[in-house]
Amino acid sequence: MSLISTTTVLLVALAAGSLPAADNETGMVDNAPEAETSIGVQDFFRAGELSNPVISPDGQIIAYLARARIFVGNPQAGHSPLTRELWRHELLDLDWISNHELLLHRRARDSGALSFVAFELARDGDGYRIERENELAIHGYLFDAMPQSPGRVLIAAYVQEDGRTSADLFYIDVYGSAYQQTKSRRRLNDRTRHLLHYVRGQDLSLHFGVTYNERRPEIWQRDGDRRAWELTWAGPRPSTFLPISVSADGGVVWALSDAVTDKVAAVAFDVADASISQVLYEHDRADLNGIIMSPDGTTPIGVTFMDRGLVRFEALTPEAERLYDFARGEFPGSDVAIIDMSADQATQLVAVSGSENPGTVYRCDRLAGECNLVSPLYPWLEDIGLAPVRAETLTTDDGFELDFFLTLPNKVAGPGSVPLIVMPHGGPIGVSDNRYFSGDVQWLAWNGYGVLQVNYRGSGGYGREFRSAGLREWGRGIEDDIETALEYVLNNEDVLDAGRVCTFGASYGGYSALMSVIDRPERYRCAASFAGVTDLTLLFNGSRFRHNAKLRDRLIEMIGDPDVDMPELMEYSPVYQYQDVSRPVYLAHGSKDQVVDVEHSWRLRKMLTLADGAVELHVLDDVGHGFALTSQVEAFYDPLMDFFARHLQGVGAKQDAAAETGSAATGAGRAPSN
Amino acid sequence: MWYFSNTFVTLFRMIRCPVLSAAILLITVATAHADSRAEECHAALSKISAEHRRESTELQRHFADRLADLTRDHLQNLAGDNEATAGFRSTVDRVVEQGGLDKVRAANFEHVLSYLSEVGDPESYHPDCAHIETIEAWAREARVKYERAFGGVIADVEERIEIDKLGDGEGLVVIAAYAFGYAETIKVNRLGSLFGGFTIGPLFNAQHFRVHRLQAGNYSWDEVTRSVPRGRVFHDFSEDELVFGVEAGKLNYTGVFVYDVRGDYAGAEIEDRAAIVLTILEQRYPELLENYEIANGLVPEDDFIDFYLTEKRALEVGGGPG
Repeated sequence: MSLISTTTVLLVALAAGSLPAADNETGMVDNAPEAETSIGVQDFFRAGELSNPVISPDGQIIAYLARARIFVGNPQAGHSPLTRELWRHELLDLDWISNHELLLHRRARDSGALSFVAFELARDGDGYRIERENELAIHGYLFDAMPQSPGRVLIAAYVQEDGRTSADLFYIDVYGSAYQQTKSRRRLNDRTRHLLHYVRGQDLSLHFGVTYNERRPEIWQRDGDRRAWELTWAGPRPSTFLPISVSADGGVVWALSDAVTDKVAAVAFDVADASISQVLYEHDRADLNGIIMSPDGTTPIGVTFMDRGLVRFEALTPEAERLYDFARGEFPGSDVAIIDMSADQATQLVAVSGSENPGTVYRCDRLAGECNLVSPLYPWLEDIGLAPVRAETLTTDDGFELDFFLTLPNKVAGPGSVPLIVMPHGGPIGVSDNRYFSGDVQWLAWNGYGVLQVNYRGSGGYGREFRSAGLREWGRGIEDDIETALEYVLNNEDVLDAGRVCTFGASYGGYSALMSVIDRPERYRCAASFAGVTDLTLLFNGSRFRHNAKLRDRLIEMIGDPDVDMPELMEYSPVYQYQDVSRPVYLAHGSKDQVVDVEHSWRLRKMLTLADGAVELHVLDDVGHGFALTSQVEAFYDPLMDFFARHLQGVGAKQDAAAETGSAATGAGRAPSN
Repeated sequence: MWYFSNTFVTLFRMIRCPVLSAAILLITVATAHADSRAEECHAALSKISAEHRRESTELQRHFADRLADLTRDHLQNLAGDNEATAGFRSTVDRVVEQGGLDKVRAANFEHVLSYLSEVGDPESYHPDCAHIETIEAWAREARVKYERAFGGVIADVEERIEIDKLGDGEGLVVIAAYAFGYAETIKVNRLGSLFGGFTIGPLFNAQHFRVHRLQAGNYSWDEVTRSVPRGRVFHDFSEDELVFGVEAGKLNYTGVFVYDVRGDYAGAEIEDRAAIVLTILEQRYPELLENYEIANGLVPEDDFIDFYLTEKRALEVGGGPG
C-alpha cells in the first residue's frame, strides 16, 4: 500500500510524455552533449534528468534514478551516484524501505525477469555509500515497504495459474535469500482464490483480498490466518477495486473503485457488512487516481485526479488543505504537484511545471518554509521557450463533454499563419492525453505547427460511460468528436489556417488519421500514421490473438466480431476503403511491432500503390510499437517533417509518387534473402 | 634495383653537406626499406590475385555447368509441352537476372582484383600491405559470397523444377519464416502423420522464403533448435497451435513464422503478412500467381488476398477498382 498512489501517474506524465511511447520509454537514455549549440528532435525525446524521485521517511535523503544509476543526496550537499551504471536492467522503481535503506525494482533487458536489489546506506563524508546490498530474484512487486521495520518488506510474487494472474505474499528480509524466503510454506496467503491485491492488518495478518473474475472484482475474507477464505462480495459489473489502506480498527478498507459509481471514486468498504458502505468522494467528471492518507495511514485526507490534463488534489479534511498551501504559494502561476512526502508529510518532493517549464523537482520543507531545487527534468529545453498547452472543453451534439488541448507555436506571424496538425491519441479505450510535456507536441510546435489533441469518447479518466461510449466507434463517433473539436478551434482561433491541416497519430491514432482523410478529405491535406491499424480484420489474425480467448474477446468488445460483423469491420478499414484515400499518406511502422503488426502498413501501401495513390512507407528496423532510442525517433521524424513541410508549408505541396524505405521482407525491412 | 643507385647518390651528397646529408640518408634508407616491402607486398598480392582469379573462374564455370545440366534435364522432361518449356526458360532467365550475379561479380571478383592490383603496386608501398593475411581472408570471404550467390540461383532453379513436379494430392506452399537471432533448424510437422514434415534453417537475423511442394493436409511449426556453448537448445512450440493448412492443386499462403530469441528465452508466432508475401511472390514467382489459385491456409476467412487480386485485375483490364 502506498500513501500516495498518484506518484506513478504524475511521473509518467512528467517524465515520459511522448506519443509513440513504448513501455521501455525509460530506455531513452541518450544524454545531452556537454555543449549543445542547437536544438534537434532528439532533444525533445531524451530521458529526463531524473526519474522516480523519492524522499526518505524522515525527509533527510532524496534518491532518484538517472542515467541508469541511483543517485542520493539532498539539495544542500548535492546528489551523487550511489551505484555504477546498471545498463543490463531497466530500472523500474525505487522505494525507501526505512530511513537508510532503498529497494530498487528492475527488469532484465534480455530475459524480462523482474527482481529487486536492496541497498543499505551509510554516511560517507557529505554523501552516502553502500554499506551492504542484496539481490532478490523475485518476479513480483513491492506490496508494502513497511518503513517502520528496517530490512523487512512485503513482496507480492506474481503467479500464473489456470490462465489467471494472482500474487503470493511473502514477508522478506531484504538481505536474506530470496529462494529460501519464497518457498511455499513461507507464503502468507493461500493460493486457492487467485488473490491479486491484499489488505494487511497492523500485525501482518491477511484477512482481506481482492481478485477479478471475468473482470469483476471479488472480495474474499477470512476470520483468522488458519481459516478458509470466503467470497463476501462480488462487484455488480466489470470494474476496478483497488484497496489503498485500512482504518485503525480494521473495520473499513479505503479503496478506489467504480463498482457502484460511474467514475472511479474513493469508497469505504465495510469489512463486517462486506459492502461498499460509503462513497467518500466522486468527482463529477474525472476518475480518481489516488487517495492520500493521513501520516499514520489510517484516514483518507485527500484525493487526486486528472482535471483538464493536469493532476489536481482535493482535500477531504482542513489539515489536508494545508498540504498544498505552502508549495503553491512558493510557485504561483505554475502547476504544482506533490510526488512524495516524508512520513510526517512535512517534507515534500514537488514537481513544478508550466508553459515555460517542462518540469522541475524541488524539495519543500513546510516547517522551515523553504523549497530547494533538486533538479530540472529537461534543463536543455528550459530556455528555448516551450509552447503553452491550452485546455478547453466543449459539449458534443449527443451530450458528451470533450476536453481538448491546443498547442500553438510561440512565434506566430498573424491571422491564418499557423498550419495545424490534429493528433489523436492511441488506445483508443482508456487512454488519454494531458497537458504535461510531450516531446511530440513540443517538437511539432517548435517547427511552427499548431497541435490539436482531443480526449474523444472512449478516453480514460472520465468515467465508465464516457469510456464505454468509445467501444465499436472506430472510424465513427471517435472521429466525429475529433471533427467537433477541430471545427471549434478553426472557428475560434484566427491564427490557424483552416486550409492547412494534416492529421497524424500512432497506433489507434494512426488509424484515426487515415479514417479522417477518408471521411473528410476536404478538411485535411495529408495523413501520417505510425504503427497504425489499417485493417480491423487483420487484428484477429496473428497467432497470439487467435489462440488467446481473452484478448480476442476484448478486441471483439472494442471493434466487433469478425464472425458476424465482417462487412462492418471492412467498411471501417482503410485498406478496404483505399479508393477513398485522396490525400497523401505517410506510413511508418516498426519491423518488430508486436501490437500492430507491420503488415498493416504494408496492406495499405499495397492497395494505394495499386491505385497510384500518394503513399510513402518507412519500415523502421528493430523498432517495436514505440521508440526505445532517440536515434529511432530521429529516423522516424526526419522524413515525417519533410512530409509535413511539403503539404503544410506550401513547399511543393503536390501529389507524391509512391515511395518507400525498406523492401518487402517477411520479418524486417531488409531485402529478401534465402 | 633503382634504390641502390639512389643510395649511391645520397652517399655522394653526404660528403658535401654532412648534416643535411645525414638527414637525407635516414629518409632514403627508410625509402629503400619501403621499396623493398612494396616488392614483397606485390609478390604476395600477385599470388592472392592469381588464386582469386583461378578459383572464381572455377566457381563460375561450375555454376554454368550445373545450370546447364539442370535446365537440360528438366527441358527433356517437359518435351512436347511448348508452353511449359517456354515458361521454364523464361523463369530461369528471370531467376538468373534476379540473382544479381553481375553485381555480385563486380563486388566479389572485379573489385577484389582491382584492389589487389592497386595495393600491390611494386613501386609504391601501400599501408594496407601491413595486413596481407587480412587481405587474403577478405578475398577468400569474397569467393564464399560469390559461391553463395551462385548457390542461391541454383537453389531457385531447383525450386522451380520441384514446383513443376506438383503431383496429385499436393499443393504448392509458400513457406516464409524470419528469425530474430539464431535458429539452426526450424521443424514443421505434418499433423496426423509421422512423415511429410520438413526442416528449414539455419537462419540468423534472416528470412526463409521458398515455395515447397507438400501433401495436402495440416501442418504445424513445432520446434526450433540452436547450438549454444554447452550443447543444443530445443524450443518446443508444438502446444502453441502454430498451424496452417494445405490444399491440393493450389498455391497456399501460410503466413510468416517469426522466431525471436533473447538470451535463454524464445518466442514464436505466426503473423498474417499476406501483403508482404504477395509482394515477394509478385517479384519472384509471378508465373505462380498467374497459374494457380491462392488458398489462404492460415486464416481462410481473411478477405485481403482475394480483395487485392480482384482489385488488381479490375484495374489491369482498364476499369476502376472492383
